[in-house]
Amino acid sequence: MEKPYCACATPPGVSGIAVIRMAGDHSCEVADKVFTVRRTAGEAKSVSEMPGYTVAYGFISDPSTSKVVDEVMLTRFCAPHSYTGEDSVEISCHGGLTVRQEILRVLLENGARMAGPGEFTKKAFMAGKLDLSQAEAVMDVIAADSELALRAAESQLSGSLKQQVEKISSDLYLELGHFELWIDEIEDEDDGDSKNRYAEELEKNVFLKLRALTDSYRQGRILSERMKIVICGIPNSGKSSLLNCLSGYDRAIVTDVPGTTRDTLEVVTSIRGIPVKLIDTAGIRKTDDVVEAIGVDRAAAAITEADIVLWLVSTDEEEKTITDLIDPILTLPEETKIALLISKSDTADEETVRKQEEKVMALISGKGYSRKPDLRASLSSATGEGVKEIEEFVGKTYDEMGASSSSELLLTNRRHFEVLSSALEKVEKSIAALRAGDPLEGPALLLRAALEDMGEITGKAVSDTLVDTIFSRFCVGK
Amino acid sequence: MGSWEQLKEHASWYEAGTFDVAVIGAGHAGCEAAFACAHLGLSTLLLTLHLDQLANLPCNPSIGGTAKGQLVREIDALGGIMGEMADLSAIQTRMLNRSKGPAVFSPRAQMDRSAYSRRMKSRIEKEENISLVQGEAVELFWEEKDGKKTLNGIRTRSGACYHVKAAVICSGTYMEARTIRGEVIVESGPDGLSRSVGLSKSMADAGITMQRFKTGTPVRVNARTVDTSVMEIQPGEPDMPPFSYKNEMDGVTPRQEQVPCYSVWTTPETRKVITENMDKSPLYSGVIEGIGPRYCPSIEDKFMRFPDKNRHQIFVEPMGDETQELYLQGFSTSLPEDVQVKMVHSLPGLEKAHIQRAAYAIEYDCIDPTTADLSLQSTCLEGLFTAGQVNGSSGYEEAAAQGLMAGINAAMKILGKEPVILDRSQAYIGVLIDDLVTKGTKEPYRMMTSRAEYRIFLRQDNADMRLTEIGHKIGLIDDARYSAFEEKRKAIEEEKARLRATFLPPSPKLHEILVACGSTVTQSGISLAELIKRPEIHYVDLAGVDEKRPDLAPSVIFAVEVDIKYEGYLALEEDRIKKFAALENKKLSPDIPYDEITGLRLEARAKLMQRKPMSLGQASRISGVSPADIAVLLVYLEAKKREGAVNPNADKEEGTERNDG
Repeated sequence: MEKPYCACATPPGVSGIAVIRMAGDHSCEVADKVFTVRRTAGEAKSVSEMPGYTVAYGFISDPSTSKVVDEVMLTRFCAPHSYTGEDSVEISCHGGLTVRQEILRVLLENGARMAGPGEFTKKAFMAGKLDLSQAEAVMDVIAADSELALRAAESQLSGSLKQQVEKISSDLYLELGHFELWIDEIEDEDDGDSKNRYAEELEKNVFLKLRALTDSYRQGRILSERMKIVICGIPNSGKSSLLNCLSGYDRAIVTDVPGTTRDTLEVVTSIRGIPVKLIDTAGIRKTDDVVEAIGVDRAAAAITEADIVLWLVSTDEEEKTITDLIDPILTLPEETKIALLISKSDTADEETVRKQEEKVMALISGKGYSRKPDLRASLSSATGEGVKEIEEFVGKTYDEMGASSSSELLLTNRRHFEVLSSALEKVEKSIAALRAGDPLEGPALLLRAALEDMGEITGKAVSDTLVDTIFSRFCVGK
Repeated sequence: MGSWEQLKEHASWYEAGTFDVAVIGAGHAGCEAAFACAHLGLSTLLLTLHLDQLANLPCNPSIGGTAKGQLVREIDALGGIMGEMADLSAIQTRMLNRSKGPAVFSPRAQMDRSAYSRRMKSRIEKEENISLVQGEAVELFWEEKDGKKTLNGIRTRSGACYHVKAAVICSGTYMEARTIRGEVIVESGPDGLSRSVGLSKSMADAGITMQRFKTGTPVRVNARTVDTSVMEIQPGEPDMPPFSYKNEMDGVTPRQEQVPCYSVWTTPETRKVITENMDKSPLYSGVIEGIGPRYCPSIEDKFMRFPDKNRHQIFVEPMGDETQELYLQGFSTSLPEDVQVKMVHSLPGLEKAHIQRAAYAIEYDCIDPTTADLSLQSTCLEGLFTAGQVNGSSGYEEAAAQGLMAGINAAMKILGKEPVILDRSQAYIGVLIDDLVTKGTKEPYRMMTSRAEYRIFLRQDNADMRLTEIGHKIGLIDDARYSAFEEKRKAIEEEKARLRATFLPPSPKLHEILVACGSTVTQSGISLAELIKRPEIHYVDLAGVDEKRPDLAPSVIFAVEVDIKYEGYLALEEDRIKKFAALENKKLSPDIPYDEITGLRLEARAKLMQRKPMSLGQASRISGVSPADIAVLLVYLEAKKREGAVNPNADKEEGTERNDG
């Protein structure tokens, strides 16, 4: 017999309740071996007798020892109207790690097998329950960890991205149709005017719309990949306190990223609903010590990937170490916003704080930079001074990221962004080639290739790697 | 029906001999098919209804043209004969689309119609392995085993029964044909030639789905009665390279003396005559049941379909050195003869034209080509191949291309070798056959460059680079020609490398050339290749500054220039071809139980069960199979692959479980 497959469907980590999902032809039989019905809506005495879409309260116990593992709620789904199109059960159990592992062990020992990554969704897809883009959006929804991100992913699940790209594709098809007609049907005339007209139509109907979409990714990316806020400054400038202060605000789970703890500490949280990743760098300092230099290099690398750099300068920091940081920070690209924060303001008087800030500004202009930090504030993690400014600054930065895009839809998925960027580049080249008076078949080729790119989003084109790419990104239990 | 058993029952039937292959019909498809089979060493029977009409050009007196010129070059590169014959019979040669880019340059030649036919006959008659016989094939014989039919013979009207291992039907527009002019319907093939009766029924008996198509041909007039001085002249292009790579190698070129063509526009009077007589059109009155081509519509169709267009262009083309006949291209019609006279007389310069042959529409039987596979063999009757208009195509070149491939594949089958299947990224021929067989057609199918996804790669100039190696492997390209090809390929590569490696410093001479070409003057050194990449500069322009330039054939120079100019586009094309090939290379076994894969939509399951595509790529082009279905198949294949990889263990485990139970 084909074994039913099971996995924990809720994320790892401690939670109140966890859900274990089991699907496949014999899920009810396996469930009946380990689950005892105590109370349910009908007369059912076992899972197999339960009508579909009903819940039973009862116990999971290990048949080999008769020991009760957990007190659970079990929901039954019947083929073909379930997520995967197969018979399946969902067990809502207590959220502890041991409980979940025990239930899975009991299921495995009684005829189930562990599900592979993305297997549930792959089965759902195979049963015709979802198309590829929906499957992909399912993953985005699962991965979304802030409200904004969820909303963006849901809009894709409902197909609005697909619709928008379909509209652009069909406009592009129309344009390409003109080209093809010209190439095949009109023998020996060449009309530079029509090329310019084609270029204009392409720009208006295709290029600008596509660009609006790709532009939205700057903001959309934040939703899926989080805004990166790097806190830097010399040791003891108050970085950790600020980190705790900002993350504590949202009671975020503090995660040590393995292998990087000594160099950077990352915390995920959200500020004003915007998902952020706070990165506490090791103190950036020029050093001759090799080991420390590696840490400094990593910190410098973290800065270059930042959306926002929070640069902490304590009220008593010396000119030498401040100067060291000016080059790496002030040479960051314009898109990276810089906040200069005079920290530990509670330990000095206002005058000292002001003078320290002036000193930093003088040092910056002294090194010939005309660029100024985008925010200047004094900061005390103890009193909370400056925290509100930082939060507002984060919000403003996020808003500005989307300002260049006129698209109502946010592109949040990297694959979509890459595919559409590639299409955009081809349309742009095609327009340039038309304006340069190139023979039509060159621009036509570019447009065909752009359409093929877009087809990967609308589902019109299937590349053999796409399916694997999408499903391999799923994790076990989804 | 359809078996040798009947032989005893009919006194007039007799065993006429045994051949490897019978080719039925000696038009453009049949001649190529017979030639290919004979050259591959098979004894070949070539049956024709009319021994004096081999490779007839019953419609336009030209070979080549947009997308068709590419086909002729490909046929030649594989070892076919259409190009060779056309070069010798050309009375005017031109390269179409000169104003567009070299990817769509298309050679076309006006033919001396009767000379072309005579040459082909003489060529075929000289072939060692071909028996050319006048006769009408009326019945196919087959044996049936386990529900599978295998062809083993054919019968002609006169009772000759031949034992054959395979047959290639190239029946053109002859099967159950009738011609139509207004209400006058004649049971006849084109040009008043007798038609084929009965063969179509025999094919249907074998289980092949038949269709009825319609096409047409315009009026021919006598040049003596036409005033060409009021028409726009279309001169030929002397010094055109030949269609045939073999001719190129042997130094055979089309003749220099060019016969001009002319063009005129229809007048308001033409429109009036047509509009007033539309009720007499069999197309609109419902007499014609066949489905006509959208791309080659009759003149009345053009006026009805494009009411905004007040006039249409008509080309006036001579039909040979020894005839006064002129062909009016674009003036095909099925209106009655008296209306045709008025229509012709409404054209400038043709007011007094004397019509020698009236226009007509012709209806004929053809197959639903989706019942054939990519080797052009029928899926209903093993050993039966079909090529040309019988497969629903239109055009001499389309027919010849299929004839060649059907001939090759009939031979491959008999020789016990793998079929030769060109894919869409290799040749227009691949596009043509895949379109017909995979998508099917509901109207006569004409080749167009836009049907080729990889048009920048599928050019007329590089057909040899794409296909000669394949032709050599098949055995249709001899060693001498193959080594000439290899030399050409080497010369192209070496010259490209030299152009990339040769840097020119700024010099007054270079400056002068750049200014003369209207190009930007460079301040620093630049490679010859970089200069040629500029649209306004051509290889020849740089002769003055390119001191070490070798003496190269014009075809080599052309190829080098196109490769360099198109470099960026070709790189993109290569990427696309790689993606395409990934799906083409995922082969689908005919045993896949599509009807059990629940993720497939019902329509897709049915279509896939019925058609059994060879690859995932081909499956994706079947109408009714959506990309979502293809994605499902991809996942299915992947799952099967993984299952296969762990299968031995899985079996054991299951076995153990069963034992325990």
